[in-house]
Amino acid sequence: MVEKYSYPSGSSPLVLLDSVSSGYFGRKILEGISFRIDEPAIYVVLGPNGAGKTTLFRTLAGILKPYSGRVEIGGYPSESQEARSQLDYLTHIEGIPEGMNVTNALQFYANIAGATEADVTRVIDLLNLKDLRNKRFGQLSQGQKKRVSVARIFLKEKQVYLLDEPTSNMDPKMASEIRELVLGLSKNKVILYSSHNLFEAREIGSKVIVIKQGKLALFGNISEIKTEKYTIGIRTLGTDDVPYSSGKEGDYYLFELQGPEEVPDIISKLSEKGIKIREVKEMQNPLEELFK
Amino acid sequence: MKSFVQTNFKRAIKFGSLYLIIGIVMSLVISTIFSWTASIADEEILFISQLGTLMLPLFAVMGSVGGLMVFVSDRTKGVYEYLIAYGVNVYEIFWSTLLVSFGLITIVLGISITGNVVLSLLFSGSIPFSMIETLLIYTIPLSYASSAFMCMAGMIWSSLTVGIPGVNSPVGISMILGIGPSLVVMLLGGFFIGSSYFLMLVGGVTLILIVLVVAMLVAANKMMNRERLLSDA
Repeated sequence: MVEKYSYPSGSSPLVLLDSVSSGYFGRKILEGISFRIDEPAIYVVLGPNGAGKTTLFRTLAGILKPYSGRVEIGGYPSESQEARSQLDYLTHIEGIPEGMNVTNALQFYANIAGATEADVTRVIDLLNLKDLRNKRFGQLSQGQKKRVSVARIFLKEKQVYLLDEPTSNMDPKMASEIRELVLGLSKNKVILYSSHNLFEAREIGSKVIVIKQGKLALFGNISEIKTEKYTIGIRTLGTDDVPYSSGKEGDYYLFELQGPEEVPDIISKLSEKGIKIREVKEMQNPLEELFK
Repeated sequence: MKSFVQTNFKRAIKFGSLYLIIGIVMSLVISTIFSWTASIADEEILFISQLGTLMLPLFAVMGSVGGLMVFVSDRTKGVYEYLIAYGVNVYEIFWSTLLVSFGLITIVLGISITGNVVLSLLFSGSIPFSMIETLLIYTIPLSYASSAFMCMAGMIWSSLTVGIPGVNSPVGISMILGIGPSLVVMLLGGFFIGSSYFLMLVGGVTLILIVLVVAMLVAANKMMNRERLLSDA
């Protein structure tokens, strides 16, 4: 049994990183990262590609051993069984064993996570997987695969959730449903949620952890991130005349906005005009502009 | 751990079904040919009658490759990333795969040895003591040791390399590695069968394989970085 770190105030931080350096095969990706989470909330982890977001999640999950520094979950070292029992983890890799159908895959992880058969049934209902439960994972579409992969985190209630791009490869409707589920999960929990997308980040969380070139660039409120220009592209279903658009790039109608907070407004305006929206995406990653 | 091994055992049967079937069928066909040849020979030729049981470890290695196939697939698909996050360690992953391989060898040996016994009764009306001796001191220990060596070498090789496909993959090469020691013992064993040199040869090779497997297991547990088990994707 691993001893819990003692803190003078008596209450351990829910998540703590103290001067953590980590990476792969001796090559440092994260350097000197320190932050402390005491308050349950959704913390959106932002950063451009290659910034070290996945490495941060793998280090927190006890998959990568830090080269230096200290990682704690609920006061326990991240590699201890006590810490692992408090957290659940979702990465961009699906991790479903080959040849299994949806039910078998969830049962496989339920056994490992200590969840029950009833939990598997509950999660199948929750994620609307009834029609897919007997299908082989390999036969599913990318979006369906992601849903099954996400379903795993709902098998057992934990204190800390590490969700690495949970809505990638999903259509906007499904992504929104997953975000709703994550929001429902968030009561009294710590959720670290990584995203490339500032619009998604603002929709889901108020706290932000920004990683830039393996270092902590910001730990604070998401409102601290300001953008000068925010361009989104909207792909529609069978419409040629799209109002408010400033142009077209490929299949996407372009909209120049002040910031991500204006996205819901433009979506509802278009919906009022009877335009069916297939996809909304950021045409330039505003985070990359910020990190220049 | 128990349910993990059970699940992977079922998957290994499915993944390696072709190898399992080939291993069993080939061993039975070879045994039939040699048992029949020995029965029609003018004088008793011990070497020929025992060739079926001498070749059994080769087929056992082939039949047990499903365990390694599951390991390689799970690593590629990123399953181990989740298992490690849930607290499964490198040793448990490697050991569970070895147990799965042992299960597969037991299937191959169970069917093939039964087949050999039945064939011996059919063709010669008895089960020679030398056959029981060969099965106990050669076939069974060498099959388990060779297969464990093949599986362990394949897992380490696969963990240290990035996605090599086809015959050059760790699965393909490890099967040859696993068959190698059995082949050497089988060829030399033909000359020594029935003598104390045979026992020394089999015992020596089996012991070396077991020591290598244990050394690899300990080294993997102590020295292998967990990132080696992450998907290359």
